Amino acid sequence: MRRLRAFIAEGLTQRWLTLAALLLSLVMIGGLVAVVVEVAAGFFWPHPLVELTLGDGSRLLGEEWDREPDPASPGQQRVRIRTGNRDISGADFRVIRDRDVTARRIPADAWQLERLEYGVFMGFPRQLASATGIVAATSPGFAEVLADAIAQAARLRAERQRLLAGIDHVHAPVARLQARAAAAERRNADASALRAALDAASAAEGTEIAPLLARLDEIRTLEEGVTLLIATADGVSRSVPVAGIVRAIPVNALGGGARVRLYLSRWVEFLTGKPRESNTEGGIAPAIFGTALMVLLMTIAVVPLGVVTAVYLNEYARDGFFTRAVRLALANLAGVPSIVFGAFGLAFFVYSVGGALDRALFSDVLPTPTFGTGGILWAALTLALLTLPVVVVATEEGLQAVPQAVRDGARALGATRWQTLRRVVLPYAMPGILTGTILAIARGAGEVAPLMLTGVVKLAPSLPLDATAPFVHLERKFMHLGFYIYDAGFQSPNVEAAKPMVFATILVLLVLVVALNMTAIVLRNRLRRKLRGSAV
Amino acid sequence: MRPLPATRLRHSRLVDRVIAAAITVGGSVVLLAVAFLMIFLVAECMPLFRSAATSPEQTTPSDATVLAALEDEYRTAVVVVGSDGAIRRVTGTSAGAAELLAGVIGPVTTALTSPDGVILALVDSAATLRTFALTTRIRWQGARRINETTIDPRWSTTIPAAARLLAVGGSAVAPAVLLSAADGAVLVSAESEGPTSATIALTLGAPATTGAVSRDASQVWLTGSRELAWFQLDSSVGPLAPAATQPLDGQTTVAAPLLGDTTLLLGDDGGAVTAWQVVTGAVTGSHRLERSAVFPGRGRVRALAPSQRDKTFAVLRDGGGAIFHLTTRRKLATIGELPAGATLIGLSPRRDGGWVVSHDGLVARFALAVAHPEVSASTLFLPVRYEGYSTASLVWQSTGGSASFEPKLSLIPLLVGTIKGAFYALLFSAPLGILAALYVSQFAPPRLRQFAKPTVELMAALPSVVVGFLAALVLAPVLQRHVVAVLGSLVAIPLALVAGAVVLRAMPIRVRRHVDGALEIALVGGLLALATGLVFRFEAAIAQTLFAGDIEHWLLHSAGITYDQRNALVVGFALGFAVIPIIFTLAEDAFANVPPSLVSASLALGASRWQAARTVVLPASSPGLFAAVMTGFGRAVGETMIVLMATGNTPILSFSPFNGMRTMSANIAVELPEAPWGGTLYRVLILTALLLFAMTFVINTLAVLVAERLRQRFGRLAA
Repeated sequence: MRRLRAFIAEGLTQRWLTLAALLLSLVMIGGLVAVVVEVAAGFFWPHPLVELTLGDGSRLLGEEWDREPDPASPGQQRVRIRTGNRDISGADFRVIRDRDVTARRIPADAWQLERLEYGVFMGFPRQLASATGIVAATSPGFAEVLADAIAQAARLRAERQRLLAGIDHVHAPVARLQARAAAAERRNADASALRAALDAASAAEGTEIAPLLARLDEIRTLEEGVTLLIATADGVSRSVPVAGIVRAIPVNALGGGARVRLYLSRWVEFLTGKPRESNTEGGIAPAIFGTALMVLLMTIAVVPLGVVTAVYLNEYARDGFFTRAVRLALANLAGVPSIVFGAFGLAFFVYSVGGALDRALFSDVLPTPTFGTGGILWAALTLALLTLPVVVVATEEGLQAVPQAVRDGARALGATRWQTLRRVVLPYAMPGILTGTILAIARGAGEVAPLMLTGVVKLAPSLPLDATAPFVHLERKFMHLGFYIYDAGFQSPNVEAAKPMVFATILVLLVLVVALNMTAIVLRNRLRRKLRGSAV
Repeated sequence: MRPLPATRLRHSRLVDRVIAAAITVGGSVVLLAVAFLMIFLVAECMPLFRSAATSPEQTTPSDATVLAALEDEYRTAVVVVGSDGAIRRVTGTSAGAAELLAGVIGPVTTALTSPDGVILALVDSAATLRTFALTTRIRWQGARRINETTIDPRWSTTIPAAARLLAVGGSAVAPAVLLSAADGAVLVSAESEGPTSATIALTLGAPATTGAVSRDASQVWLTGSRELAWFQLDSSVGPLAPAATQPLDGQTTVAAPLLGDTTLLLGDDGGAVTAWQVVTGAVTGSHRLERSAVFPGRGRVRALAPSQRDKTFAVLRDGGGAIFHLTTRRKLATIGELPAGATLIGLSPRRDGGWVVSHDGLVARFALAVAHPEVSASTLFLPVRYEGYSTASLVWQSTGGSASFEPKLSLIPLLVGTIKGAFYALLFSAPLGILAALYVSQFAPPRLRQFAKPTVELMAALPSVVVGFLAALVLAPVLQRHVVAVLGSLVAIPLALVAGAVVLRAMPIRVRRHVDGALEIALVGGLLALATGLVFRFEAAIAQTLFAGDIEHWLLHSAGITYDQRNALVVGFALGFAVIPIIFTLAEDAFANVPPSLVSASLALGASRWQAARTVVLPASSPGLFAAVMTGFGRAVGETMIVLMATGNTPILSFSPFNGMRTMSANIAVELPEAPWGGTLYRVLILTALLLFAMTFVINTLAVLVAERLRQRFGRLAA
């Protein structure tokens, strides 16, 4: 009994329990990062194409995705194969029981085609048909010829994109007139002047875009002429237009250097490309851009306000009821759930302010809303409200680090309060302001719930920044990395196929947020050292 | 040195003053923003609780004895059917000219309209039953809207002289008319104009006095000889017996089905209006009529008018009219200034007004302002008996498939879901966060402390959408497969630590002396890995002995608990992940604020490091720990993305850790984008947001106050 009491009093177990709690927390965060990095980093690496022959004689070709115990037969496993060829089989994946497999080989002549539509194709190329003739897959220069054809197709695609953008640009004033005329007719107002203007604009547009349309036709003809005949593992031949191929990879025949190059080029496409196939393939550039622009707008709104508030609290306010109320309000603002800000943003910014703006400035296209619906400006303002306490707290810390002697010195030299603030205090407190800004950006980049109510979409037709006047379109909806994760991971029609993309997006977001936070932590630590130094 | 010119000095002093004013204004923006946020949200949901009001509009006399009346959607005119067989369009200013109805040979003995105001049926002097369909078309003349109500004849048929018109129902394409008969009633219906009408005899045993027909003409209600009977019509043509009957107390004067045809309203000569619904009986396939609500009143009930929008209805009694709502069982408003001898009442299709008509042709119109009749404090927070439910229940179901769907907006399932999620999150994160903070502040070697603090802070910065995604798509399936091992680890880890400590104590002192710092960390890490590894290795065996192999099966059969893949355990874990850093940071602050002199004193008195921590540091910092847990709770309550992704989002009332839930925050995120601006759902969701705001406001203010008191306490100690 006494030994037990001594054992408890020494508290070795209890102390170990506290250590275990810390270790568990650290393992959790480490595990999360490890899972994300493992899945995301591995996805773009070329996996060998395996050909399986099944008991019934059928064959299939694909990447071995994952294994799990076979619930039907204990002790056995089953494997999920990413077979691609969605346009033929209707699904991207097949689950095969290990016991059904009679033969397994890694064929050197298997290719993987990444396509613009219907996902990847896995098969064995037979021949490439083009205007210059037919090249058989067995001929020595086949790989080069195919690569050239794909590169040519990419050039044509880029040219078509440029042409279409040009057409859009020419069409924009016409579209605006159309919207106004339609809205006027809906309101039963007189639309005849608008109609006349519209007819004139349409006629002008017709002559302007005729050469563009002709070139588009040419491109279509050029694209249709080049096709790749490729067979599936089961021997079904299929003619794939080369214009729809992004990459053709003889995966199993690749050397080490080629693998690394492929890996890197896939990352580049992911970071700079547009999404395809309802966000399950392609890249996330519009989401990165939308996040960046939204965060920039938010920063423009929140930093001045946050700094002014902090300056007021720290430099101007006397301790009193009002100051305490402001501090309490700040503490509460920091604790208010983000979804409440979202609801407020929707009710106030979108419906009240946006609705009023529409009635005042855009009444010619009502009832179609312009600012009266979610948009990047409203999202940015909502998040600015949300991140205000972050900026204030960090800036205050920065201001507190400014030694009183420095202020007194400036005042003693005859500087006014404002001059002291501008020339001495604010430059001194800059690291604090910077810390606050960075933390606010990190918070804004990762926040999703308020955006869902104030203007984020799964696929924005156009960026909020483009070549059409007035160039910045603050009323437009935008894409966002965090919302992309939610949408592709949960609302996608093909969640399994979207998963790797989501993991890669998570990795991008994590790198971004962690890098921002690390910078902020380093900055703040430096500031705190300074604070301690100045106190001595 | 040359002195500065006086103008420049004046200038800088002016600038200084202006800037000072501007900064003061800027500083108060935060306070204004919070106040405005709250006031705005309150203002947005106030209309929910505004009581309804009626206000009288014009009263216009018409020169006819009025038998039936109806009003168009835009309230341009009340169309009255006179006994002379003519209609008149009565507006606020004019009584309208008489327009004879096609084929009618006056005078008309009775006329009725269907509850939705689409069909008119009348019996003329030649004992011919004539039906008409009413359509309102809107034509634009420039910016002016012109409503054209046209009345087109449908089928007609001669009827026995004794037959009385009871009710009109069915659709404009196929009107159905209920006529009284010696043995009950007959339902006459036809697809279009023409004599080939189908009649179905409904036997009651006595002549029916009142009746009602559903919109799809598949149900008929009859009353007669103090009995209510319900008929379910099928394709048979033979005489039909009632599917359910129920004796009645009073003498029924009027009957009308509410929107959706699930509830029948009966008015009696004592003044009571009763609501009846059909429920399934004890025997399979049998039915029972059940009284679901009573709206008492005084004076014989003359007329009932159900709204075409919701479960609101108007009642006209001798001596007064009133507006009621079925689901809330409330009297919404009284209608003032009725004409004497009023016999008919109606609500306009948009439920923004109505009319009362007296037999001698006075048309009194009234405006009705009732924005959200279906919502009151009691429907939001107390059990409500909805149509088709056998008991009062707490349900959240905001959208349904049909136009007559009634939204069920109880906040309780969402509140329970919110609290449940936060509870499981705290169950997981509070011990972990506080213990980890205790280690870091009291026992940790400095190098580990320098590494651990920013790492845990970084954990707070992880976007919750990432945590939610991983919880739902990675953790949830793993947890489902290894629920036994995960729960087992909770037992195994402390056991392993105790065992390790016992073994270590048995070691000679020269071995024990070395177990400190890095070696201790490695040892505990090893014990953790060993314990979880063993549990996972022998998971199947554990499951076999304790739960007969399959815990989901075992839960279902021995405790009746179902296991959802996305359940409260997963959410607790994932939410806990988001809450741990908050609790950790605040708890660490609280521990660090305990003056080291106290700990030193305790150690000097011979306490072990653990004893000093437990008996001095923990009690001294307990208010701070409370504040930490509160703040964590606030965060867990408001977290959206994690619960949105990791719960099944089903608004069920269940405290089981193995079931999902829907929280207030996730509910806002899911439903607010789809809710029409200014509608009931929109305002209820804004009210939910306000509730969340209020909850976190209270929690945070409490935490701030506690932290302040703590500072004061140690301020004294340090002095």
